[in-house]
Amino acid sequence: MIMDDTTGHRVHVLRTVGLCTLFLVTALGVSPFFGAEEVDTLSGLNLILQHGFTGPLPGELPERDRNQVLRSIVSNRILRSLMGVAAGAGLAVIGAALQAILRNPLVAPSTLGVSTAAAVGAFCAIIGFGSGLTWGPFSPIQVAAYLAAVLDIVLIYGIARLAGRLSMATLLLAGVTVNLVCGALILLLRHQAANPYDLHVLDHWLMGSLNSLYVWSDLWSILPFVLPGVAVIVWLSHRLNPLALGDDYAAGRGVPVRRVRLLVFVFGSLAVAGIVSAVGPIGFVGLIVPHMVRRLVGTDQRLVMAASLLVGGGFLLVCDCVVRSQLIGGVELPVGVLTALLGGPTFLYLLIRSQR
Amino acid sequence: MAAMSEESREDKGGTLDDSFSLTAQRVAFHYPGQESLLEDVQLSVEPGALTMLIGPNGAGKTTLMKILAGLLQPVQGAVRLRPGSGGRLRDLAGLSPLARARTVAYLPQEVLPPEGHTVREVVLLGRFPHQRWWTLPGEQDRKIVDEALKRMGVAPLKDRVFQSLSGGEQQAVLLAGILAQQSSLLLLDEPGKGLDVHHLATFSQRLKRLARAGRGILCITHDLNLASRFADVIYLLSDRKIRARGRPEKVLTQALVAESYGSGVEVTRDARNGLPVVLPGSQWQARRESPR
Repeated sequence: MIMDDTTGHRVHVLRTVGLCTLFLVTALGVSPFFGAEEVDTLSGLNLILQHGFTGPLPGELPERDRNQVLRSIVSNRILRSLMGVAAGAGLAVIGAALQAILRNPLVAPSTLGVSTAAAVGAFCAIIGFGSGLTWGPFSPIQVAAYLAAVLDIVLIYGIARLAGRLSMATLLLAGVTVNLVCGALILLLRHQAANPYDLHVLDHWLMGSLNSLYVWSDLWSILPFVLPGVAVIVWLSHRLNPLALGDDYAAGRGVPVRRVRLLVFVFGSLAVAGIVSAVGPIGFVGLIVPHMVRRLVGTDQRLVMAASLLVGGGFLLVCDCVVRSQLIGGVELPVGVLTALLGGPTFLYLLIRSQR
Repeated sequence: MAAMSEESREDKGGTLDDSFSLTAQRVAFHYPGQESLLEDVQLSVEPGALTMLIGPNGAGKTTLMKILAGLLQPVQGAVRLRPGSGGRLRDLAGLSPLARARTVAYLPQEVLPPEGHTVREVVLLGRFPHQRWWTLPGEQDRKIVDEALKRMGVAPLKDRVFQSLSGGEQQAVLLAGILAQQSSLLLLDEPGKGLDVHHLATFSQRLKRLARAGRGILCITHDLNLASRFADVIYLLSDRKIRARGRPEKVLTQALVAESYGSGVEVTRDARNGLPVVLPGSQWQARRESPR
């Protein structure tokens, strides 16, 4: 019997979501085994399972080893993995959604200038401006980066609204311009920088990495940004479907086009600002993962968003596992380098396959 | 006659819940801070009739259609829906966007070619107003999509990539998507653009049949002879106002056409059926430009 269309569609959805979930769960499952320090991961995990993440470890372990286990496994591996998943998932979903509302396949989460503006803010904090900016779990660099990114969002939104209604073309142009101006500002600040150590910190920040000692509260510095952004985009994903044929076409199908655009832009950009201020501008994930996913799952934006979420999170995690194991040259590369080195050829392969 | 009753039977197969008429009442429109585009426009789209909206470039036809579709709000006046079953008049602006789309389907003049969509996926987008965000297309959606594809004569293309089709085929697929929306009112902005003479005729015949089956259809067209041959009612929009409405022979007169479009137009009559025929230029102009 020929499988009917409905069943076929359902099978496709379940298989896609199932495979992507499997990828993410597997990546999360093996991630504690990757890291620079040589620790007995299995017994460490066992200890954590028995006594919790924060509770006292059994007395037979000397204090130093106990801290070592906690530091290596919890902070450098588990928390780091969760940060990576949150950042990767957020960037990929937001990239996919921005590509849909701006109807431009070259758009990435950084296109609207959010990352570069955040970098200027971060640099200001690094060289000492606003060093008193701490709030809750946020470091001065994070707060300054976030504020600068929000300033960019408000600025380009204001410019794009000048004509009365939000113009996507203007939004894109304004974002790209802010990007260029902030890029020049960074060069200027670098040029004027007195302290070479500041430059080193800036470079490290600019490359984007998950390389720091994480504590649980660090998750609270990223999840409150990522979760609302992702939730709004997933909720609106169905309405992005008719948008593929243009604004008027979508409006004729009953899509409140302007409201959908505005919500995706505002929540998506704020989430990117949060992610970038927490882990730096990690490139590539938000640009290429949506394209990879589309080649695998088709055009239904609901499926594209779900798969981007899972694959984006898993992809960044896999890349981070590789860099934190210091496999290449015995030093830790910035994860953004590997996302491009691993993701680029993968995407080119998919591109070639789909052309045949 | 037999073919027609078959069409109407098909359509009663659960596709139309009710017929509606759509009326623009004394509609005026301008964009904020800009000059007036429409003044005191009265127009109605009745079920069972193929209504065509004609007028020179820049007369405001597309703007008027967007107002009728609920995409733009009139500055003055209102757009109202009257159910054929005799219910009371409702303001179009009072409906939610989805409820509006289930009653009024609008095909804009410009549709962007969607990246990577198959014909079936494009037509399935017409089911959007009937779906919720978690629902997958079901058995009923599949049937409706297949029937719409068949109705527009593009069923064999359903697995092709939309962008690989010719302009005429794309237009037919887009219209199939509009049919799959199952709205009782269809507003089509230049649906015949890019079609050759043969396809234009088939297409217009199909529109006429859809109208006879109980839908109310409004088409914008620049092809006055097409309007003459197929329209039940023509509205002539010119210089922000409706200049004339009625049957083709009433609207397509030398005086009205020349007044709206300018003098370089000649209206004659088809000797066989008396329908107006509109020709660009005049005999005198054509002869003067021709080589000796």
